[in-house]
Parts: sequence; structure tokens; C-alpha cells
Amino acid sequence: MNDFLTFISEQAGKLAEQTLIHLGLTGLSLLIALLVGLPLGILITRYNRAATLVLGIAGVLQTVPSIALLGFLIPVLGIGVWPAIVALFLYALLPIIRNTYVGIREVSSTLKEAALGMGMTDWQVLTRVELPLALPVIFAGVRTAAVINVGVATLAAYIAAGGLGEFIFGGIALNNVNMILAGAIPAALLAVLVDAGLARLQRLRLARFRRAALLFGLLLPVLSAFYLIPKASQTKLLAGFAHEFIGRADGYPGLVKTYGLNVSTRLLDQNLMYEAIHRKQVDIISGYSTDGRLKAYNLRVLTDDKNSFPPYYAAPLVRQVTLQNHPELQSVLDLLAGKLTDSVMTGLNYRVDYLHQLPEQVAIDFLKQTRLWSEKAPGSRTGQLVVGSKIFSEQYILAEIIRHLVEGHTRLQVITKTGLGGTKLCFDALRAGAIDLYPEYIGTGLLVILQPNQATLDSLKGNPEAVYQYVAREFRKRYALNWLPPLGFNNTYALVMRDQQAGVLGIRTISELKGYLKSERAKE
Amino acid sequence: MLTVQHLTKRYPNHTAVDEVSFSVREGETLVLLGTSGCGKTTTLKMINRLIEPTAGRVDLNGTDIRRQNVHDLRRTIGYVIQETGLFPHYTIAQNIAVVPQLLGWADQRIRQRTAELLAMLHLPEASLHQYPDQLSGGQRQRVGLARALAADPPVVLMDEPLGALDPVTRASIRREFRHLDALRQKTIVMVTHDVQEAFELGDRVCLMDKGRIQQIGTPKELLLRPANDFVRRFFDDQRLTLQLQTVTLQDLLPLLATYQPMPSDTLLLPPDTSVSDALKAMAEGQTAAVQLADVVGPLTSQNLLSAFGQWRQSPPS
Repeated sequence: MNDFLTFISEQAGKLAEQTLIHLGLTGLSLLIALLVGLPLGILITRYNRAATLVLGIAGVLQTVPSIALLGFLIPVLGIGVWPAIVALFLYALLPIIRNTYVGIREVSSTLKEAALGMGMTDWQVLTRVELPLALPVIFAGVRTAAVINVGVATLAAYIAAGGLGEFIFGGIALNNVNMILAGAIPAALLAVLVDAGLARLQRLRLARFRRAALLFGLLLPVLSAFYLIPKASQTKLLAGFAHEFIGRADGYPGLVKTYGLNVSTRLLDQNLMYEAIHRKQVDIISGYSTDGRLKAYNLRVLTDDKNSFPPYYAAPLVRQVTLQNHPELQSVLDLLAGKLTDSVMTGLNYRVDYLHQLPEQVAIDFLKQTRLWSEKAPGSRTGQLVVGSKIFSEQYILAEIIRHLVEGHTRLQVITKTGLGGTKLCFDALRAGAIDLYPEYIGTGLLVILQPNQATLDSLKGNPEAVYQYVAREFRKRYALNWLPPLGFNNTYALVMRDQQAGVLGIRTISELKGYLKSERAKE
Repeated sequence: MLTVQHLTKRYPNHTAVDEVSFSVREGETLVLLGTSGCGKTTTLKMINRLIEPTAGRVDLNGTDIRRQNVHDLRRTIGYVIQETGLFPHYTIAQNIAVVPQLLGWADQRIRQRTAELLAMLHLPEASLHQYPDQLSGGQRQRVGLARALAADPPVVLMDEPLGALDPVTRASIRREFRHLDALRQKTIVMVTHDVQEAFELGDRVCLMDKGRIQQIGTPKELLLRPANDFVRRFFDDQRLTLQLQTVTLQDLLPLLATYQPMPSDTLLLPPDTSVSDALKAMAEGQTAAVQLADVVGPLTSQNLLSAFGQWRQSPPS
């Protein structure tokens, strides 16, 4: 609790800024949704045949998962504020259109006929009878839209649009509960406050309510203006980094320490990052050295010439109990040692990420090529092995490779539990015995799980062999978990640029990038 | 003068109104009577063009209504509808002021007119700033009428104006409407399914069935000289009540004995008094008289009822 309060007070300035941005995002998108949804809702009460179509489309948009919607929008709108606002706008549209439509449709036809019969024009019927009587229903729609938007606006942080989501997703990536709460609590409070505020408005007597609703309409643009808070000046090259990369000591802070790097950064979701650099929305991203998209998008990994990134060699992490129960297992898994080099792994990832082949097929092909393939023996199975994986392609492929290898060479039945959210989830599942093994990276084991003191880190720094020995020893001792021999590749952080741009600017290493940025700043 | 000629409205599957023609004189009240679905409301709505006819025409003071801007037309025709159609989000004052405002009257003039109407229709002044749901059904009906009369239109259309009221309130509002001077000068077309209402309020009644006019004429004509079986059967259930209402003292004068001398304080009833009204006017055991030119008919409940009985035995054809 105290930690949380300390974190809040330390981050008060940023928290206030993100809250304002959050409000601005919500307000602006709501305003646009009102400007579009209200006339559209009115229009479809006049053209009934269009109503089904319009409501259908708005309904479908509503069901598109938010992260997918953001993904669709990047090729069109890039990253940053606009795709976020467009996405929020699309989510706010359905409740506004539908409630406008329903509200007006439910005004009694007797009243509409009375109004017409007294000589009101269509416009007068609309503005004097239909809209005022539909207002409570329309306003309920606005209220729904506002609350949805306050919630969905957290996702804006995925595409560098800011908002309270920066704390939430940063906190999830770094497994920092205080940081998550610092985003989640204000976001929840904001939703409750917005809802309660609008509900209060709604309870006012009709005449006053109309005035208040008008005031709210006028207030929206002001709210939206929060978004125009001036941004810090930018460097020539723009970086898009994942939340985890920004926060972890061995990520961006490490680069700052080792190279003195200083570049304007945007926070981006790690899955949207590649799309963003490919579309030239950013120039540098924090990729992974074996990612298949490096090959697909023709990206260049900058050489870490000062060894700032720790070694992240992958190896199967297995419960000691499992190895004791199934003595045949270790020798089978050892067959993989050293077989998956950086280029092999990048190639496998490329086939899954870019050619959209199934991880299972890619795994089988790999085993056949390396002559490790053996047909699954017929007959009953003597035991069960549960293999876990994290939620990205490489881990799915590794899980499939392990499954087919083990089923081909032993009589064990292998079950995969893929897509476990992150390191913490996999590690906890392993310790609890929910899974028997999963592929882990030694750097992760060292920095995320063991978290040794600075002196120990300094003594290990940059030496893969030393790190592996230390991690293997500590895991056996503390958790009764075994690290098997590394598979071969080093999936470490990497600074990545478009090959073409890096070529033009003559940048191959991180030191050269630093030099380029420095010379550009000198020119200004 | 309102003239309707060969008015027809066809829908894909049925004909709602079929070749309807009639005319309404200035200051006259014509009641469109019939069961639901007979086409009476459709006919009414074609007069203010809420429904456009398939064929036929409507002339108002000699001009085809289609040659006038539809909104201007409607602003010169008062419109009273069932359930009053008052706007729930407007105060009573705002409701009454709708048409004058559409016509662009000055505020002062609107206020004055509203006050006038309020007094005329016996509505409390406090109701001006109340909303329709704060008023009783009868009061709402009066506001509905005030709204229709606000801009003093020469023609008023009424669609089941008393349909939403309970029978007691209904009868009293009906009586009130009948004696309202403001309504007497108006050319009125009213739709109802209530025979009593039609006979009490209509100068002439137009009985419709299946989109066609079955008979049009004064209540007495419909009752005494039905044009066909449909008309005759339509009034069967309420014949006695309707006769009591339509037969006047003048009709019965030949049947009333004329020999008795009359005390000087005799209550003298006009010849066009209906039998039922005459019976109501005479208190228990009291005598009255009716005089037409030099013929005087003395009245008691007894001889009035016996004369009415004789009349029923052999009604004039």
C-alpha cells in the first residue's frame, strides 16, 4: 500500500498528464461520434430500409476486438492519436446511433401526427417534438458510449496515443503491480465519475436537462482540447518501443547507460511495432533478434557493439520431478541442443508470422530436415507430459517441436498449453506443476525471476556461459527446476531499423546510431 | 364551405375510402360515423392532407387544397385528436401556443389569446405553467380543443375527440362543447363511432361502412328514413334513446290534447326541445307547455310519454 502511494506521488505529474490525455481522447472521440451518430440516427428513422444496414454495420464494428481494430487502422492512419480516436469513435457510434434511432422511433405516432396536423414542417416536428422527447434515450446512449470509451481508451497506449493505458500495460509488461494500479484505479474512477456525472444530468427535470445537455455538448470540445497539450520536441529519428523494453533495466535504460543514447520514443504494443516501422510510422523499434518479421519486412538488426543487451539463449526449463519420473526424457530433449541457430529460428518464425504456416507443420518440417523426426509409435501411452509456451510464435513453434520430438522418441503422451500470458504466468504454472516444462530464455531467468544484486550482475555481464551456469545452479537450488542445454539461438532485444533507411544513413551498430543522432542535434 | 368530391384512397390490398362525396356548409358540423375500419378517419386525414388521396379532390372555399402549401393549409385547419395529442414536454401555455407561434404571432398577442381560451374553456389559470400529465382527462381534452382553436381557424377537424374519456366526463364535455359559441361558428368535421355523440353534436351525420357512404343527412332523417338495411340495423340497439333525443315537441304537437286551460306560471318550452330534454326539464309532477304560433300544447310527463308512445306506433314516413 505504501509502495503504491509512493509510486503515485513520484509519478503525480505524469499521472495528471495521462489522465488529461485520457479524458481528451474520450471527449474528442465522443464529440466526433455525436456529430456523426446523431444525424445518422435521425436519418435512418426517415429511411427505414437503411436502418437495418446502418445498425448492422455499427453492430459489427462494435464486435471487432479493440486490438484487432487498432491493427487494421495502422496501415491506413499510422500510429498515434488518430487511429486511437478513430477506433474510439467507431466504438461510440453504435450506442449513439441506436439510441437516437430507437428514441425517435418510440415517440408516439399520435404526437407526431398531431404536430404534422397542426402544420409543423418535418424539421419542426424533428426539433420541437421528436428530439426533445427522444433526448433521455439519446442521452442514455451517450452515457453508454462515454463509459465504453473511457475503458477502451486505455488501449490507446498500444499505439503510442498515451492515456492511462501506459501505466496499465507498462505495469503488466514489467510485472509491476503498483504501476498497473496507478493506471487502472484512475481509469476505473474516471469511468465511474463520467457515468455518475452523466446520470446526474439525466435526472434533471426536462427543461433544465435540455440546457444541461447543451452545456455538455459545448463542454466536449473543451475536454477534447486537453489533447493538444504541447509535446516535447522531437529528434530526427523516432523510436517506437514496447512498454516492457522502456521499463526494464536491460532494455532502453541499459542503452542509455551504455551508449548514452537519447531518442524520441513512442510507446507501442510489441505486436504492432513491426507494422508501424514497416509503414514508416517510426524509424527504430525494439525488436527481437529472431523475429520472423525481420526477414519479412526487410529490417536490419543493429549490432550491439558494446554488449548492452544480456544474453537470451533459449533452453527447455523442466521440473526436476518430471525428469526423475521419466528418465528417458532428458536424452531426447538433449537432441535439440545447438540445433536451432539464430538464422534457423528466424526462418521458422518467418514461415509462421509471414507465410502464415501452422506452427505444427513448421515444427515437423524442421524435425525432418534435422533428421530428428520419428513417426509416433502406435499403441497406448505410458505417461503424460504437459508443455507450456508463452504467447508468441517462436514459443508455439518450440512447443510443437518438443511435442513431436518427445512423442516420436518416447511413449509419453504430450499435451501443450500454449499462449500463457508472460514469464510470470509460465513460471508460476511450472512451479505449481500445471505444466512440466516450457522454453525459457536465460536472460529472462536471470533478470525477471532471480533478480540478483548489482554486484552479481556485474560479475556475469555479457558472458553467456557464465549466465547459464549461474541461472542453472540457482534454479536447481531454489526451485528444483532444471535448465537443459541451450537450443542454440539468442533471442535478445535488438534495435531494429528499416534496412533501406539504415543503409542510406550508414548505420550498422548502435554506436553509429548514437553518432548519427548526436550529429543531427548539433545541426539544429 | 368544404367540398369533398369522389374522394378515394386505395392501399395495395384494400380500398379504405371509396368515392366519398359530401359538402359541409360554413358553421355546420358534419359527423363521420361508423365502426372502426369504415374509412372515416382516413377521410378526415385526407382533408388536412395527412393522407394523400388516390383519386378525387377536396375544395376549401372553392379552391383545391392541393394548390396550397401543405403546412399553410394545416395551420388554417384546427385539429383535435384522440388522447388529445398534447406534447408532454410543453406546458399548457406552450401547447396552446403551437399554431400561433408557427404563424409568427407576437408574444403579447399569443398571451392574450391563451388567456381568452382559458376563460372560454373554464380552465384554471394556474394550469398555464403545468404539464399535461398534471391535468385531469377532461381538462386535457379542453386544452386539446383550445389548442385547435388558438389561431381561430375557420375549419376544425376532430378525430374521436372524446374517445379517451370516461362516460360521465364524456357526456358533460359533450354538453359543454355543444354550447360553446366559438364552436358554433366553425365548420366542423368530426369523426366518431359513438352514435349518441354523433346525434348530439352533428347537424348532419354521414354514416359510413366499408369505405362508402351509406347515408348522409340530419340525425332525424337517418333515424326515420333509413336509406338501406345497414342504416336501419345500425341504430337498432339504441333506437328508443335516439328517438327520445330526436323527436321534438313540435313533432308531437298534433298528438297532444289541447283543451286544458293553462295556469299563468306554466313553464313554456321551445318547440325544438327533444322529448328527453323536455322530460328532464319538467320536475316530478310539474306541468309545462309548448306553443307554436297559436297552437298551445299543455305538457305533463304522463301525456308527453303517451303522445310519444302513439308517435312510435305510427311514425311519419
